[in-house]
Amino acid sequence: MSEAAIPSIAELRRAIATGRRTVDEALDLQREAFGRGAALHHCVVEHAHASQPVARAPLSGIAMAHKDVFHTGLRAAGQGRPSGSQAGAPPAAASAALQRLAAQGASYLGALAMAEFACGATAENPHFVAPLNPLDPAAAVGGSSSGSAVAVAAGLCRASLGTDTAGSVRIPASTCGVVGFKPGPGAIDARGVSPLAPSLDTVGVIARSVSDAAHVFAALQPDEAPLAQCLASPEGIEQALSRHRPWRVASALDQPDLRDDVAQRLDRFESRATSRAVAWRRIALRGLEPLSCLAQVVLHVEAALTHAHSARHALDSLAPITQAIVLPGWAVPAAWYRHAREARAAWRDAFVAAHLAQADVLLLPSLPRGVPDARAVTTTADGFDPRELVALHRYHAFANYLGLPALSFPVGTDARGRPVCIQALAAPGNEAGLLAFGHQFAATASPLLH
Amino acid sequence: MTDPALEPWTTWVALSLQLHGIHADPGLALRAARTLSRLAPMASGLAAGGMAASLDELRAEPVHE
Repeated sequence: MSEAAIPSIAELRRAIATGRRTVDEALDLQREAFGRGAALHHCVVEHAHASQPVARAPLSGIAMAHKDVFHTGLRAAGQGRPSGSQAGAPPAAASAALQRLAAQGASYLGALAMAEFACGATAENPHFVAPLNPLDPAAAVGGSSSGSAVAVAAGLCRASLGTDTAGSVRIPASTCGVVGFKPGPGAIDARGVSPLAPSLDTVGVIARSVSDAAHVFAALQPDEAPLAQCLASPEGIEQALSRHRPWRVASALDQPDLRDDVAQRLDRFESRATSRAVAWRRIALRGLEPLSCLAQVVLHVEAALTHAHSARHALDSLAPITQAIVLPGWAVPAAWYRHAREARAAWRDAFVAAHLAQADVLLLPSLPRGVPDARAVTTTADGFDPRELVALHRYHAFANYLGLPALSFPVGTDARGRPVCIQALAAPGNEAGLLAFGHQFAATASPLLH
Repeated sequence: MTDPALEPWTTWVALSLQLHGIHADPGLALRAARTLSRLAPMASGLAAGGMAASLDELRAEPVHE
């Protein structure tokens, strides 16, 4: 990981609270890092004008850039399109999430690169130069929140908002060795965010550490939410995350499609982590195939509706991966989609009962075959291997269908020195518990985050 | 060689796109047909009542390894 000039959000808040830094000094440091990194990493599509933050708010002095799906009020989201998705249209009102962050004192640095219309599990976007993975330029950068992952991993900012419809926060975070947090549906207000498949879309956070992600998530919660109240003091979030809990863990890390060196790393994590839980059970993961199928049905149909105008009038201008996601939706039998929507609650209840009734978290691999080479997952490259592309989102999309909160974080490196990440899932509504688990178990697991 | 499972989906996708006024070249339509052909056994099975069996499997006693 490149130089990390920006201290954690908690450290910045402590420095400001104790007078060791002023808000302006903290912002200057972050803007300088952002400007320096933007020139190197091809992950920034728009620099925001500096504005005065709300004074004495929890995130005063914290600056972030976000995936280019958030309307800013001055500029409509570009959505990875060559001239912006709504060129010529008046800018829409600022997204609820950006408004909330601004009210909490956060400053906005700019918009970050992404796959076109948030389609695809990689950074591939024919309209822009692809951002390189800061850990290894030959390694893939996942998508669709590719710019967010690169910006955080390269030290341009500590955290960034993205969106996750079938893994688009967790996949890029996992390829770049940082934290990806997808809360449950609606946990972060999605008004003013460009949609892809509305019943699967979730606003999430990519961050350098679980603590950073928790600060941003807490700031986006209603004032009365317990985690939001922890923001009142600079120590509050980390105290809440660190509180001892009798963890009950269901581990389905041992999957048949793991690459050997990934399996060894996950084994090592498990052998170290087991003693820190009061109950650690290895269980079989069930329902993955039907749930992945249902998630895909919903994705195709809703993406087709969202981008109906583009499909009818500008199909040739769409990236190949966007075409591949949007077009099948026009021919999905109605019975498939109706079943997928109507059966969702029953599937969620059954899945939670089977995997999370006696556990606080369910552990899965994030990328079972590790971080692939960029050329293996770039559809136009000579070395393209569709199996590698499929492996990127194998363990992610079903969590969106079920509406479960999910957190991915690195636990070490593979034989090539690339990050190996796990994914933890929790029952609906247990975002705070999930973040606490990640904070406590990532802290000793990964040199990548420190 | 012709894939008998793919062939009806190729026709179905071509007609669906045409009827919706979407002018996709044959390569794109074929790719969409492959996607639906791959999903069909599971998606049709679930929609046609196979969900109950899948849920029963999910609800069975947890398998501890």
